[in-house]
Amino acid sequence: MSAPRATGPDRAVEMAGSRGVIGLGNPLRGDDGVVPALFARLRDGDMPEDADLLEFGDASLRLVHALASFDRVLVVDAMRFGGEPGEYVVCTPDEVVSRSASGVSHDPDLLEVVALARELGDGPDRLRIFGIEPGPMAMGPGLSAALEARLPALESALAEAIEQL
Amino acid sequence: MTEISIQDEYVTRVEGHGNIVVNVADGTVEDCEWQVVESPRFFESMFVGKDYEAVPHMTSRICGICSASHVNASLKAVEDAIGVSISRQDELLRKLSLNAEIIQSHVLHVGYLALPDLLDSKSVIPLANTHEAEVRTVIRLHRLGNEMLEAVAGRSVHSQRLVPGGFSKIPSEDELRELRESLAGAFEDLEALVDLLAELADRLPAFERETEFISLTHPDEYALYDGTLYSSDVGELSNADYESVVNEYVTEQSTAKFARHERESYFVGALARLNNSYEQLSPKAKAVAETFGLEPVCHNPFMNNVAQVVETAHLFETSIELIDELLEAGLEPQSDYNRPEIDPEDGRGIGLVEAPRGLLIHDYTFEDGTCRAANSVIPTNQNHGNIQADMEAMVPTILDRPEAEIEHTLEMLVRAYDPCISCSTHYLEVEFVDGEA
Repeated sequence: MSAPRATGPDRAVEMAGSRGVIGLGNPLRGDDGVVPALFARLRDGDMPEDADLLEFGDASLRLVHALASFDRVLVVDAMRFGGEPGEYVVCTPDEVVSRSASGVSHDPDLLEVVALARELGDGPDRLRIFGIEPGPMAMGPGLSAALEARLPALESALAEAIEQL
Repeated sequence: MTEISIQDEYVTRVEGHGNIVVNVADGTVEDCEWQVVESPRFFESMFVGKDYEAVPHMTSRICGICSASHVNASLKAVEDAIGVSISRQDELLRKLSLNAEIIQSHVLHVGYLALPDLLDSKSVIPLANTHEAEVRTVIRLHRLGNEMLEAVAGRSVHSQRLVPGGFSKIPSEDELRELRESLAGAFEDLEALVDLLAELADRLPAFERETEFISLTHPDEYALYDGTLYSSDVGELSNADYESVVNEYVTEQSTAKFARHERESYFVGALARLNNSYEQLSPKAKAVAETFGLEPVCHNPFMNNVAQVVETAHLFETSIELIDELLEAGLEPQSDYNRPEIDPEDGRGIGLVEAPRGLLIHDYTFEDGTCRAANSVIPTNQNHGNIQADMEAMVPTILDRPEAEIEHTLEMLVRAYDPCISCSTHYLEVEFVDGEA
């Protein structure tokens, strides 16, 4: 275990071959900022040496380049799936169906980008989604109390999901 | 007798959400509306009370597609307000960052969002099978825009290195040389995209409606990073009086503001820039324009797609020139954690740039280094009125077509404007009629 190798969003595109952990979310949009908050904590902690943290903000189409660059990818995003705020799910893209704008919170749809990468044969060997049920996504910085309280547990769960990737 | 009812919720392949509503009874158009329905975002209110370093950084989160444009407009407004100037080197690097983002955005729009219309595909995904080489070309060009922005701004989105007074970190000369090589090597891909679009250009509807085109113009260059407001109807306008140019207003059909100037609506974006500054396009860009017979003044909004490709050629050529000027002068070294020393003055500053989708304005007032007032005018809001006016003019001319074709044609019209609804930063204050939230 050691510090992550990269913290920028693209450096790892050139560092292909291992694990890419890609985070989406806007810290100025309430609970949509849960992933940037989690990534900030992960950067301060231990990470597997071959895992690269990439924060893509709300630009998911850039994922197509990253998906082509790693053997294993974990996409971490706020995702409404009917859970309680702060609840998380780890799944494959095949286990979920997009409900258009109400699914993963970033346009274009994450699942569409995955489908494009797969059609091109550029997808990673292993792809998982770590989805976190958000509470309010009102404009403004700061997480809801519910998600703020869940951050330590989510950090542990995310670290485990990265280990198992 | 024509009866049509189109309730096209959430036009696909645009950034954000908009509805097309058309109702025709007895051959008469009863409703024809472009509705912007996404929740408004109000970043401006978040800027108030923040310091001059925080505001540009926050603007990078307004939009994932136009992030560098917002940062550049914001920095220009901040620096104008607090009395800071930047070096020629920093100006060239900022221009490069803006070029990179426009390349990213144009390639994304033409290749991923508009091309499927011309190839009778619902999205780019099936094209990965039927037109794999073309899709890969688009992906390579898009990646180049990402790499450019990463080299200059540190990240391909939500850039962090552009700060008031300059850059916190600048690229190395080797990185710039590498970037130059990539740009020079990418013309082949660009030509392939031009050839593909040229084969399909006759599928773009031949619709025209005279309108006003507003953009920045500059005496020495094709205005993107800097310039003076210009209207195709009345010529040069005052940047300081931008509010009397954009004249934002609210409508019942939309949560976003609309805008108008000399006419009921105006057009901003690639086609507006091309119409207003055609002579300053680079040689390769003009050659691309000639391939499509695109010359000013073009009033066909569907040609905005073509104008974006023309501009992409221009951006490749001028980015190489910017890099050459930087390398010839030699980069002035600075720390990798540079924080320019600033003694902020009080004042108001206005920053105008051409974002991929058109004119973008940030306007701030600072006191003691703290933002006291903020306003932002985004390109898409300025185009909503023109989309509405185009729809009103176009629908009666296509009523004889099947309903699905009318709907698809109107979707293409909306997509031609490349609207980025999710970055509409104005909000409406409302109260509930029953007095309860």
